[in-house]
Amino acid sequence: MLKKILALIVTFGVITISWMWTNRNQVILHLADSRVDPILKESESTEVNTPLTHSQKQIPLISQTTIVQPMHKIEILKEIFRSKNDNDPRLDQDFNQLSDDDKRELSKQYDSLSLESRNERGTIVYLLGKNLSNSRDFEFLQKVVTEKPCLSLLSCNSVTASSSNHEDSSSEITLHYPQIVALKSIEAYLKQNPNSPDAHKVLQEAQKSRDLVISQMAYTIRQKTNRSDQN
Amino acid sequence: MKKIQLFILASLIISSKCFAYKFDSNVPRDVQNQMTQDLAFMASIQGNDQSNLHKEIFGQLAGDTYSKFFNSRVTGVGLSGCGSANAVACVMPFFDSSKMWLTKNYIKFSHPQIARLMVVYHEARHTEDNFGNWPHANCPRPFVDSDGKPMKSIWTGSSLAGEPACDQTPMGSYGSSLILLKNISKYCTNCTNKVKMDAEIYADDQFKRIIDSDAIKQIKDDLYKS
Repeated sequence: MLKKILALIVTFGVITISWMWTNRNQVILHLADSRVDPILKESESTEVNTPLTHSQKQIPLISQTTIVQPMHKIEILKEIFRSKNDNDPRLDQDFNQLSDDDKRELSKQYDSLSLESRNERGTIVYLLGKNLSNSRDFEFLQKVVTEKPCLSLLSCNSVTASSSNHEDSSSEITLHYPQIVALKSIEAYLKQNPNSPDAHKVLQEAQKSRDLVISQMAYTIRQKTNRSDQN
Repeated sequence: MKKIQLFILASLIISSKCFAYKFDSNVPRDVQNQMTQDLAFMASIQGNDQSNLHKEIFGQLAGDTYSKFFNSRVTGVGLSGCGSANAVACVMPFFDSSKMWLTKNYIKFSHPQIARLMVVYHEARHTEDNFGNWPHANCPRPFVDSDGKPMKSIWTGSSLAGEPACDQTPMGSYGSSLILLKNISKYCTNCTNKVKMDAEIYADDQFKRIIDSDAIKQIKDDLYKS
């Protein structure tokens, strides 16, 4: 009798496991609940409960109860921030040829984010950095590269003691992420426009930074630009 | 009785293959969700090529490759402080070499997605008992960058010289994660430009932790020659 019970339990277990293995992708995706991102300063409630996907070809679905309307660029960006999915294809598709109004909105959104929102701030710098067209755009980048350094990812205004440098390498880059992205944007712009005074001014200001990461990166970009000028 | 024992054994083997990793119950739901989503992104990656070092460590640049790499090394994910206020994840080989520990920083810190994954794959490499868990080498004294400036932990100001925070081989945790990210930046065909830019930024920074001249040359020849 005991043997029969054991056999039944094992059989049931195998069947359950086989079903879960077959449906594992759906099981994984159902774990991806949407939530309010605590990093965003503005209080918002998320009513959309979307299954998040990571394929380049898929865009997150909108809840059936929401009326579908053309979304403002900032709303798209906030949705992407909430999802924490940097591979959302809309980052490549929906933020090209930005108007002055779009840029103003993005700049306002940048200022509204907490200092600790390094990835979110860096993403806005990235989007504006691929749409550089007038002096105001470079003034924004200059503002970014001359910001007060963020001292820790928990709180930009205070240093968090760490007992090990093993984990620190990614933290250091993330602390400087908006500034690094700004300088990368300048570097890319200078490849096409090597004599741009606006771009060089941003580099000059970055080189004056007391933050070694920023000043050294600006110096390296300047050297590279000068070398390609000579060639 | 013997047949039942065999049947139970077969079921256990099958079930161990079905669940590559399992979260401890005390891992917060939002941390679980984020890691699951991040690994799902890795599983979706497609590429049109890969470097030789990538082939040697991971195989083809493809989501399946990355899933198999992670799932064959990590059987459990727990919650820990990892001994550092800045840690995002760690492995404690002396305790359980196939278990990865996440900290709450996994979702608290605003890292780009690919940076979180870099840490996860870096730590996954430390699970490999066959290679002594790829321990880090002590950074040299003095420890300077290519411009001769001292390599310091920027936010603590402390020097990295003498710290176990470098690698002498391209195969270790710093090397393998930099090779992973640099390949993604060069060859991913379904990654956004932001992901590819981020992969390059973090890979190039990790490269500074490789201190052996042969290893540096190997990586340069593999990934930095246009």
